[in-house]
Amino acid sequence: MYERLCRWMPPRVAAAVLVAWYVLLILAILWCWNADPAEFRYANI
Amino acid sequence: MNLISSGMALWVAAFVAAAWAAPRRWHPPVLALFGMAFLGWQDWRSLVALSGLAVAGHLLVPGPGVRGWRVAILTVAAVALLAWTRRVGMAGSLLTEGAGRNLAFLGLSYYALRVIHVGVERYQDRLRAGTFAEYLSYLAFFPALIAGPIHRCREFLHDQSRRRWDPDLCAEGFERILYGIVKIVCLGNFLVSHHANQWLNSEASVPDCVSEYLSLLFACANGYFQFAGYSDIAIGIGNITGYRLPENFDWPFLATNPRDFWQRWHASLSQWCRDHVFTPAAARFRSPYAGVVLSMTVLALWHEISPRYLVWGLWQAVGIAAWHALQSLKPRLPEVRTRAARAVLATAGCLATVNWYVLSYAILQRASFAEAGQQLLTILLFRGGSHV
Repeated sequence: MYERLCRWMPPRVAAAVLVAWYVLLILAILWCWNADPAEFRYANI
Repeated sequence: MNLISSGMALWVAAFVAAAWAAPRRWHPPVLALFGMAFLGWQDWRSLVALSGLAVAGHLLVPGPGVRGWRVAILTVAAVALLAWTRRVGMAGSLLTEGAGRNLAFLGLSYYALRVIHVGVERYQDRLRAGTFAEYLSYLAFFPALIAGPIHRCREFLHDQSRRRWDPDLCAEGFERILYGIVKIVCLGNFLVSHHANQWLNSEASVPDCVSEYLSLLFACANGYFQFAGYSDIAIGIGNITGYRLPENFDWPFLATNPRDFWQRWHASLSQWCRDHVFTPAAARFRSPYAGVVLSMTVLALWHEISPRYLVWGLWQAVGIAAWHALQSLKPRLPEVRTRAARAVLATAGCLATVNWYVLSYAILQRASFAEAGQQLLTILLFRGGSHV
């Protein structure tokens, strides 16, 4: 993903964007995990 | 226990450390021990089943040149064990624990197919006869043990002998794990299972046909996010330890025909069925249609041995057979020349394919065929009214 971003922006900006994207995903995981009642934390397929 | 937990994270960390710390010649037994220790920890009956199948597989079909009946006995034993657990509802998976289902014979659905795969490949001289430790490390490879993908032995042994530390592959692995957790926690559990279904149940003004359709769509989307998420995690852990596991889900909802769909949805199972059911059946009966019906029946009954899954498998087979029939008519139809017309056709094919699959969930979701038929009629006849 980093290489793909580097095609569109300088390497340092690409690294910063990538780190921000990962932090956003981790925060989303934590938020959804805490917001869900316990019964929805388990996969149900 | 849940797959997404601190205990599991510690186990994965120990597995990765051991996979890289073990000397090359000790690598296969270390991998095998980790997989078997996990099974012993979670479900001792499954450990006994795996050990029995592994010993039987290695003794019956140690390499090429054995008699066909040995492969037949091995296949019958693996299928019988799988069928027995499916019949009594014991084919366990950590994925179903939260739903309160019995946890037993963890991972059997996957390693039974791997045992058959190795037996057939060795019999047909397409796989070198490896050591028992290599064989066991393949069957009990921890990342793919619980929920697949059903990887191939030849590629696995190739990776085992050639793998070396690759920072790019490792980074890719961490990224895949992150995406997998997002699919499970944010999209599957939070968005679809919780909020979308809650909205659907509370929204009284939605017409019946729409609410019935949405309930099937949400069930389908939840299945996709959960299963694709676990596949991402398995592939990611594999990458971190230097193994490349095959993709299991490749944007299935962009498939333009039913055959394409099954090459994108649970692709490792579809490929197993193609190699071990479709190809022999199509050759034996000299008909691709016979191959399609048999392979989709096997694929469906692998999930559960029940009339509803049998009908669901036949539904999928009808979709693929209809597409095959359409292909044979293609030379007689006018050629599509413009890019716009091709795009319209591809979009129509995509919508038809996805809805063919989504509607088939009615058979799985409803308690009886009559109820499933009613649900399908409500959707297809655009019946109005509103539900509470």
